[in-house]
Amino acid sequence: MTILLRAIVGASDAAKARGADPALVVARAGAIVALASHHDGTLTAETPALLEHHRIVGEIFERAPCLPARFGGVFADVRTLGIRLAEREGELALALAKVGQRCELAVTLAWKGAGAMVNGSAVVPATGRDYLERGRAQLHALRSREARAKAVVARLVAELPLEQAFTRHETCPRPAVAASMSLLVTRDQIAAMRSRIEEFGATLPDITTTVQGPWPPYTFAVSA
Amino acid sequence: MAGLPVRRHAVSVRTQQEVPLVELVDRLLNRGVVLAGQATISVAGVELIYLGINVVLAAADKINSGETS
Repeated sequence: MTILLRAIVGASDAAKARGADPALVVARAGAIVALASHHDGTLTAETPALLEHHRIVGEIFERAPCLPARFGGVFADVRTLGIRLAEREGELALALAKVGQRCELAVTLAWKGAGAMVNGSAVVPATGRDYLERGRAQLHALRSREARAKAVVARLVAELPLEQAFTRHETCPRPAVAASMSLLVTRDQIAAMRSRIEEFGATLPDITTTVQGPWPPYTFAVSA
Repeated sequence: MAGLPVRRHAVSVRTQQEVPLVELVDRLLNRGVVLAGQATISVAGVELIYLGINVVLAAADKINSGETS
């Protein structure tokens, strides 16, 4: 039976973090420990398994600051995991210290009436000229969207009381989405941050704003 | 939604039903700590095997659309 990495916590937090799930096993490497679950069979990235991973990581995070593991880190046994952990102990301990007790808020900026703006007509162009003109119009719309998304993100980032290092974003990651943002915040910042984002979103005629979280700091786990 | 952790306090101008799970799934599959190891992972019926390499996964939609190698 293999083990599936869930999260990394400080060695001094190992006992209370393990309380998240009695079945968790622990691999140690100096100042940090890795928490993993026994796993058997093929690992499938389907919603139940992903949410179970999120649940366990969340339980760990409720008990201690942690670096969440990306889903899919499977190791032969605790010893192997310990060896891999030791190889990056210094880097991971530093990342853990930087993240501290902060959590992640996910901000999704979605286009209103998504899909209508860029998608082309289902009607086949009658001529080559029609085809080219449609393509040009779609490209222009895509570029306009990208520019608009970047401008909105820049405005929002400027309005949030966060260090630049504590924000990440990707513009136009999906057709319906103008931007996907991640914010690393302290727990006492969450309510104010949500309010500010919602107020900002209410001023946008073409974009809806959604805040999810707090989540464990997936986005900031390594390079916070 | 039964089974979701209570920590997911979604507050938004959109309803929870409209909030795509993709934001969370993207984080679970594309972000977070990766240690060198091995994994056998199946995404949407396609089994992906990683042996002795950094386990780097892409979101299922990217894999399905062939954006990753």
